Amino acid sequence: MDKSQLVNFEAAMQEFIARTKPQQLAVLVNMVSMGEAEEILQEAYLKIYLLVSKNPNQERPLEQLMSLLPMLYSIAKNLAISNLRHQKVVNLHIQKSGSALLDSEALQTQGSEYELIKQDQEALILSAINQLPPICRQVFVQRKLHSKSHADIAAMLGISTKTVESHLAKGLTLCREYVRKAKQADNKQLRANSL
Amino acid sequence: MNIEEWSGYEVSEGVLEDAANWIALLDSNTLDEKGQIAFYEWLQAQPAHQHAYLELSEMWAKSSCLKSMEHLVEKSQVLSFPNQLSKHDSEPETLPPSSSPAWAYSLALGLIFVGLSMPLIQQFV
Repeated sequence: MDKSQLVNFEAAMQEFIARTKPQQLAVLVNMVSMGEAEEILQEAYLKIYLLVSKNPNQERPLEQLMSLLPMLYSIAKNLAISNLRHQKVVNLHIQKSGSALLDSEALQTQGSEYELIKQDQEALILSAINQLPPICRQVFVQRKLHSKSHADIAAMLGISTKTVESHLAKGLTLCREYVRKAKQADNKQLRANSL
Repeated sequence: MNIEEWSGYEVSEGVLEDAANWIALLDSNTLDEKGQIAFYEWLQAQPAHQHAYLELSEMWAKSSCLKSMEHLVEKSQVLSFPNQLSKHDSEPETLPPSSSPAWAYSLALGLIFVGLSMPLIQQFV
């Protein structure tokens, strides 16, 4: 991006925020506090900014930003959900600690509970990777955990780089499916527990 | 509030595949300027494309984070994490039943990572 493009892009970003923020805030305050909503939106705008700024085509920046409005909305919504989910687990913990879990060693503090949520997510992705078909899994692990290039993996496994790419794409959709199913089951569990 | 319903946005298989292919292609680092512009055009064309790309790229990024645990796995042989294990033990029904033996192995590995990542997570909290 040259300087005049950058100025245009910054101005477009300002305009994009001015046009879309009130509506986004109005939706978010139904879920989270005003302060959290502001914070969430700031992060969401930053993500959109970083994404669009990498497009080699910098023509009509405002139009480009506006066309990513559904994504902005999704990013903000996801952040709000993870805030809510955290809150829900903390509340559940508070409820339970009054009864059965008081003598259990499993859940000691709220802090460790929160860490467990994060670790659960990572463990879930790990088990998702582990259930991939063998070659797909090997390609995925070499790329994501060992940071091997596509060409290295292709040479190592005697396949083409296009095949490496398709294994990665396949692995990603399979992992998504696995995590989605596990989370659905988990949400049902959470709801059942909170009844 | 029902989080599940609120967040349940269904994207078609075809769009998900397209999104995954774009992510793999972007990851190959072989995309020229024309290819990159084509990616943005695809992304901006439809809300469903954006939802699919967002969801898969977040998963893609999360799976990169696992890398930071790799060195811990190789070094450490000791797993002293009984407290948290007892919590996970109650979770089998939350996972698909189709993968019973392979799944047990997966969970075990997952739990090993959970335990091993504890010090790492604590560093950042």
